[in-house]
Amino acid sequence: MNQARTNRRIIRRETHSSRAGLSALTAVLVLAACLWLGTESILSLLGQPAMLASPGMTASLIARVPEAVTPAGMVAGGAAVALAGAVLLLAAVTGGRRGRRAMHSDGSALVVDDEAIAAAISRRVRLAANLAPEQVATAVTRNRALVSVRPTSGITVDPEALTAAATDEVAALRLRKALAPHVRIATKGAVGR
Amino acid sequence: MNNTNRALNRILLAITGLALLPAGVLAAGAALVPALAEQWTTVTSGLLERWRHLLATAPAPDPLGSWWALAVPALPLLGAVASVVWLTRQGGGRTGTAALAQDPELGDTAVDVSYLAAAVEEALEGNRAVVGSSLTAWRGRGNRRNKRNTSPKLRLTLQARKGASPREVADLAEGLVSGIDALLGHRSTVLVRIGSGPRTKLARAHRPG
Repeated sequence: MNQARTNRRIIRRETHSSRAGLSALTAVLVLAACLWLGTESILSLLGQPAMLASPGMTASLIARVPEAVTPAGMVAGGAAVALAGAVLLLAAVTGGRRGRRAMHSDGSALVVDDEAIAAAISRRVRLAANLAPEQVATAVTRNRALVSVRPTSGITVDPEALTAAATDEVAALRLRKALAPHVRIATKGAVGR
Repeated sequence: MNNTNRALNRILLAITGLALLPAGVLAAGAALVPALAEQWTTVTSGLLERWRHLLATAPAPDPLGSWWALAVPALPLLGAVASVVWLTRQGGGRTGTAALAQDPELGDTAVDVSYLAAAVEEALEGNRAVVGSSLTAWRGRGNRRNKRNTSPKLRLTLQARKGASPREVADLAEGLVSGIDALLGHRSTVLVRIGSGPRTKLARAHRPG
């Protein structure tokens, strides 16, 4: 049993979506369609009247669809079905990254929320520039931390010092994949701070 | 963390998507291109004709008409069973047992998760960087074949106070994990998640000093 491999695997599972929600939704819809079709075909085998349409009626309707339905309705329906298919296909193929990332650790598998990282960077930058909490906001994207600072009117802040503070905080985290901080200082200041 | 079969989810989603996408494109195309609509009608009526031929090859007593007619309810029922199986494969694997030791002479010993969770809670009492914690356990893959060899894995969630350094919380977590190992008497697989949950938003921000 290889501990490092197990850790990598559970980190991967924790930081990526399992697609359980979409799978459950799709399964329920497929189930409903199958149950309806099954019921209709058994009713028609027993010679009972259909609930909505017997399988034979459904089949001949599908065969005549281009004549039976207006072109506009056809296009709208087809586009909706194609869109649903594209969404499912994309969900199956794309990574499904959640807003979390792995940190270096000696033994255990360590995962941290992007929100917690953003809050820590904001706090560090705020202390370095001596600002109020609402003057600094941080957004963490896939591989960048975007720090936006709104300085107090009339007081200049040193962008390099703030970048150094943010870089320092990110380096202290020891993330498994690098996160590059970008500090942007607003040209309009906050009044009365 | 649970036992969801993620590869299966993605494969089945891809199959459904691959079935719906061309069907939708074809339907929209048939409305826009008259030649395609014509093609649609010829192909579908050809298929219906072949189905009628197929029905005639295996005649059955009257209410049924043909043995092939049985396939019509059988296929959707098969599909229904498959969807139920897919549904039940979501999640699962949660367990209340954090560790299990089996000995033919001494008997089995199980440690409940709540015991460890209470210990973690106790250790975090009065801590400034963490506002909440939770500990759960789940059984990993392959437990059905050899239940003995797979010990449960633990998931420790620590909710950091807003602005607390995640590294500080991580170092704290490493200490908690070695504490858990000491309590259990063996090294366990622990997933630590440093989060910012609802309690983070309610608690006051981290103050320096």
